[in-house]
Amino acid sequence: MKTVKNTDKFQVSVEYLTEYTGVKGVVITDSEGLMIIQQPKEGFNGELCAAVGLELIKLLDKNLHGIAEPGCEFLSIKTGADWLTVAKTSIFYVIVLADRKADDLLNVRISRALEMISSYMKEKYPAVSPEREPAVRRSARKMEASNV
Amino acid sequence: MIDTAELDDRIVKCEKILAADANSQIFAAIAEAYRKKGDLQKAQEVCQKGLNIHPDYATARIVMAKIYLDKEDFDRAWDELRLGIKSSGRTRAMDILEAEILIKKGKIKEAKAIAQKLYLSDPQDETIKNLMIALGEENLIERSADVLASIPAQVNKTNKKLTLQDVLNIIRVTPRVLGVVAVNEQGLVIDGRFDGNISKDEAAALTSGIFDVSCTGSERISLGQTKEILIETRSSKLWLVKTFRFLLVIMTRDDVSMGSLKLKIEDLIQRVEYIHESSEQGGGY
Repeated sequence: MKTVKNTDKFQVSVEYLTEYTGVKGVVITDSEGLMIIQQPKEGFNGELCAAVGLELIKLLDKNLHGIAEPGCEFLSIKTGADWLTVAKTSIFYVIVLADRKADDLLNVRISRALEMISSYMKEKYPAVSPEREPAVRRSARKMEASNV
Repeated sequence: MIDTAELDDRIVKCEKILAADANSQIFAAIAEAYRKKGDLQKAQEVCQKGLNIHPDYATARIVMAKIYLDKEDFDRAWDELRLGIKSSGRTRAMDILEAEILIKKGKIKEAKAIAQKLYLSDPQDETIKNLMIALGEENLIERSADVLASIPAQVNKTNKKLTLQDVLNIIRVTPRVLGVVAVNEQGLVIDGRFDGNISKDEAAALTSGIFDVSCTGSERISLGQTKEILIETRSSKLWLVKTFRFLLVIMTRDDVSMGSLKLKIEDLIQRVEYIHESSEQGGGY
């Protein structure tokens, strides 16, 4: 019997993130806000989160224009109860909603998920692969390096 | 003192890796080991061979720039550094190397500008201290040492409460912090230590705008009131923390350790005793 390999890295990435303690939901969209995949938990509204997350990133880019080029690559908002992260990778955005009390090491998972998506894209569609790794991955790599 | 036995050992190990995979980027480490040993010719050969395969490998460009610097070919060192910056953007190591090359090229003014900026972002770094001394900037080091020495004494003396001014001073001298400003609800500066690209007033206006945008967005998805925002770009991080009386805005380099900075800030915020009435411009968060 032929074994079907799980090659959908988007699915793997969202599952990798949602299994982390405190994560309420994950959504991946393209730069236009078109939802590629979502993994909701506990009434997470992926579409709304994606729309607001992308709108925020675009508004921040506008605000940061001239100060931080080429703009925002990672946004994290913590409220009393929740923690929203919007991270950019190549042409996609990964949006993660988690409990405010979730461990900060969630950032490492997010960076790994971005890396999975980036390498998958690079392998499958080299023409659209990014020239540089995302900021969050650079930070995580430094952290990993310091622990080696 | 350089341990040549260790360098030889490293070269042997790295060459084994390179022999197994001719496309490996380990060549840069081999070239650097040869350079440290003083075998500049061999270092150049290895590095050039690798760069023919990996022309955009910034680390190797840096190694090549160092080789040329050691060979006192400063123009070529400069060209290699520019190629490195072009392929991966600026890093701290590149800034240091740039200052070193500028010194050798006799461009002291330009070198000082870079070294001072590096020093202000990380006054504890020994390499940068040495660079400052080479540039005759001992006075700045002494003045900063006085400020740094006074802070722990002040903190230990009270070990309880700090004024906002103290807190901002401590944050500003924290390694890799580029600036800090406390902003009131109206977006006006209470106090700040911001220099470089933007003034503290610009930083305050910009960040209170960002905070409002984020608050509106997070409320639209029923996340409640925003307490903290972290924005990362390729070169810097902007961290906004809402406290009882003000919004604290901290701008850092991209390589800051957020974990330790967060611990430090949490501690400092808890210890802020009061805001000077004279400088407080009304309104609290």
